[in-house]
Amino acid sequence: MAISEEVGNLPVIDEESFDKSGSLDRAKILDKVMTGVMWVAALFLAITMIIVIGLIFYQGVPTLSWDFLTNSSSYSSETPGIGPLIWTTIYVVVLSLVITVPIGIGAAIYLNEYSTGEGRFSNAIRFSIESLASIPSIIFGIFGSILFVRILAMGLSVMAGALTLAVMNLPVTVRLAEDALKGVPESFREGSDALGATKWETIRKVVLPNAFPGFITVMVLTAGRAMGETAPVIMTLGTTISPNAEYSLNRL
Amino acid sequence: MRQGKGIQYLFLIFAAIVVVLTALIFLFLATGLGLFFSDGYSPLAFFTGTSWNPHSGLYGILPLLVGSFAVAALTLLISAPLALLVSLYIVEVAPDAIQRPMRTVIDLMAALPSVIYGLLALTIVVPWVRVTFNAPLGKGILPAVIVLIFMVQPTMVAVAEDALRNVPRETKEGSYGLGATRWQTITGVMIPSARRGLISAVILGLGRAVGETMAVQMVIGNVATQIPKNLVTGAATMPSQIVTEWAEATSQIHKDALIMVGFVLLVITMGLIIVARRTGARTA
Repeated sequence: MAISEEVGNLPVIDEESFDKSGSLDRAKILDKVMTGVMWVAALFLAITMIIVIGLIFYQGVPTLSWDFLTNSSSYSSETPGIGPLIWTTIYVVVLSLVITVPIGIGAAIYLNEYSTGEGRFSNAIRFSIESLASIPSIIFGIFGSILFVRILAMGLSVMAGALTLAVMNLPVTVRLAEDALKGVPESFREGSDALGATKWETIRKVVLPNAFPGFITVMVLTAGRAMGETAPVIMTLGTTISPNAEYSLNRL
Repeated sequence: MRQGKGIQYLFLIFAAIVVVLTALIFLFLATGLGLFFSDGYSPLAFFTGTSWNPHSGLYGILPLLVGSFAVAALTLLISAPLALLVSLYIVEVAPDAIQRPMRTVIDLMAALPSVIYGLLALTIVVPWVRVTFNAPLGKGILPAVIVLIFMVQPTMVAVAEDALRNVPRETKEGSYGLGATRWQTITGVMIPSARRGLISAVILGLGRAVGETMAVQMVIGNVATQIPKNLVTGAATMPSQIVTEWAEATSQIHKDALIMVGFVLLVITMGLIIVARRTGARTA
């Protein structure tokens, strides 16, 4: 945009010849109009979202109370609460992270540090990650429901939900972890190599410590995705919490 | 040295897990084909049936396909131009002071879970549709489209913005140097040059619209017994119907029919991914 302002300040040498057809004027008017349209589009989007998010807070915050956060879940308006739901959410997300993060980071290390990036296997991995990342979440719900709930006989359970979320989040975790590894400068690895370190020593002592902050980001983003996921969780974890086992660790 | 080798194989196994999982997902979804074999339901009745009504043993996918198609097409019609304008705004027009908050808003939109969008649509859009169109329930394709227009924005804007930023500086400067206005530069140089990325943006947004489950399920009314006739009475999409009926599907044929719908959805999404790959941009 800086460029156009500069250009705008330059004297246009041959303005008369343009003006005969009037096309320059029309172009300038169109430019102004479309600039306005772009402003309107962007502001429309931003303002709508801000209003909507404001509305959530405006309507939601007054009903927030410690009791609401800790009471047993219930539809009755006397003692509404989401305590067990919060607990289950945290539980299922942590479980799924415990599964996804090591595998995801491991796969990313293979892709970024060991694999040459060529060949059939790397291609297959890339294609898999891309496919998994774009498949609708409901597909993972069906998959988890067949494999974990039925074949592995877990029933509707926290474990089945966590495993399903783990599968679903795997491609994103790999990709983000790879970005974290790519953020470690190549010169660090070369320096370590030059000191006679083996590949694994380089990874363990140079690459991983430097990629660590990136891995934290990976975990936060993955947790956020897992926490907000709905359909696959309904299909593998169910929608009810037994009143006797609200805070149980063992609702697997 | 030997330890290093072992570790390498460990990481290789982790990477292989990703491939195996992808294969397994296809395999399990393909068990939906059992509908035509072990359950003996006719493929013709499935693909051309105009009613999905498990109580009468009817599993015609057309109401769901039409629902999904209508929702996706109408969403695209509005969200694609909107996303193009917004990404152009961010790349070319926005003053520096606005660029950053604008990005924050887009990131925030991406971070909102779909069930939150659904809840908002249920409390804001559905009552509005009920009053404005005098529809008894206010649920149907229209509210689903309205909520999806917002939900696909982050995906589309991110990819389109990427593509527009990759237009070489020299190309733009050349256009400005010839005395073109900003809009002329955008339409004459930037959009043609970023064309492939922009197409990817649309396809990925389309993928999101087709696959979205919860937000749609909450506002579309979930009526699959007939092909939707208008935009403000109950309809259903493929994912919304799967999540609606999954828990109550106890018979083998009903479950297989739902898995088969999932398989059709998977094939459609994979098709979109392959097209997006062809256009050359990085997906997701």
